[in-house]
Amino acid sequence: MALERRYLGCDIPIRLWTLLRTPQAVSASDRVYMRHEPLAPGQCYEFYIPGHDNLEDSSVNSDDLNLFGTPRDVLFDTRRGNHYWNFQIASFFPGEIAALNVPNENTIVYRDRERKVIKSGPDMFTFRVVHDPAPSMYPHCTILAYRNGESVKKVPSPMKTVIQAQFARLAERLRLAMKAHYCPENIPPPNPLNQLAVWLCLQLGLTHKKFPPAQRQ
Amino acid sequence: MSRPQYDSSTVAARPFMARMFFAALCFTGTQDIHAKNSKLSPICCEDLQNFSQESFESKSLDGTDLFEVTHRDVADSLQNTLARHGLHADRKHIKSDSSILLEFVSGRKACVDVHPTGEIVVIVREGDVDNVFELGVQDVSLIVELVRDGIGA
Repeated sequence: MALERRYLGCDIPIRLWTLLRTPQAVSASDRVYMRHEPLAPGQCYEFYIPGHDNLEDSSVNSDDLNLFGTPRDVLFDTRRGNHYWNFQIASFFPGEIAALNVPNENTIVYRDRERKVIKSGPDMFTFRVVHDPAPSMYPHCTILAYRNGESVKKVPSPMKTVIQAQFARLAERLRLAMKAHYCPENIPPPNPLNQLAVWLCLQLGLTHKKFPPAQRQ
Repeated sequence: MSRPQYDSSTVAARPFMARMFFAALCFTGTQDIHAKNSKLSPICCEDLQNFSQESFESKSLDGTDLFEVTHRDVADSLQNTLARHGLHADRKHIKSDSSILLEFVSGRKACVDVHPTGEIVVIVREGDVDNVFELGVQDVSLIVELVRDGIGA
């Protein structure tokens, strides 16, 4: 049985590694970046950002928490090292994401045995950006979905379409600004010094493991 | 009543025949399972062999007969129906949950999302407002009107 070689992330710049840093709060005026499959030239997002399917916890990168970084840092694949250099980047303001209130008008009305309404009104879907640093990606954040203020494990199918359309609308406002960061031919060359620095940090145990959800800000 | 008498060759053949009978039973059982599975399969389904655009439209508009189709068939038929009304989808996405999204962006901005669960979500965008409709396969004519005429339909 062939052993799969473990990806260490030595080609990810050392400035992106979490090392001894701790999670921080994400400000509403920050900007977050999401990678996605590229659109055809001249196309808008309209109703769907390609690949934006995991609505319960979408991965993004913060701009403010990425010192000396660029939006293209979101293209690094921290798990397998298959970096997404040919992907485009969508951008959002966390404040706008937090302001999204998506109602589900087809919410079931629950009644008790005496036909009294226990729960009625549409379920409200809201979202929040939390800082969720990965060992080799400190600016990594997660967009968490909430239903009536409680964390949701699975968004109902019809609501997915509505939520995806709302996110696409938000991303469309900043689409032209993000166009400059789409350059699939621009692949950073390997940096031996960076690789050495990452290797040393790994050897010295200066890397954090993934933070538990309770520590997310 | 006397017990039947077997000669030695018959007795020796009994385990062999029993095995053969069991094997035959298993074989027929497997065939049954395959037949059941093939009924569910979109390729071998008898209903789907006879599935056509006309039958889809007529049945979805006024029929009460049950017939099995996959959401891909529904999406394809919807796309064809809309195209026959001059509404050609500008983009088609297949999402990771295998729902199929048809986007209309050149004229009136609208989208039709066909979910594997059978729900069809239509969003008609008017300015900054998204009008959302959750419909079913029986609402083909309404979907056409919504995409063509907007919420004034």
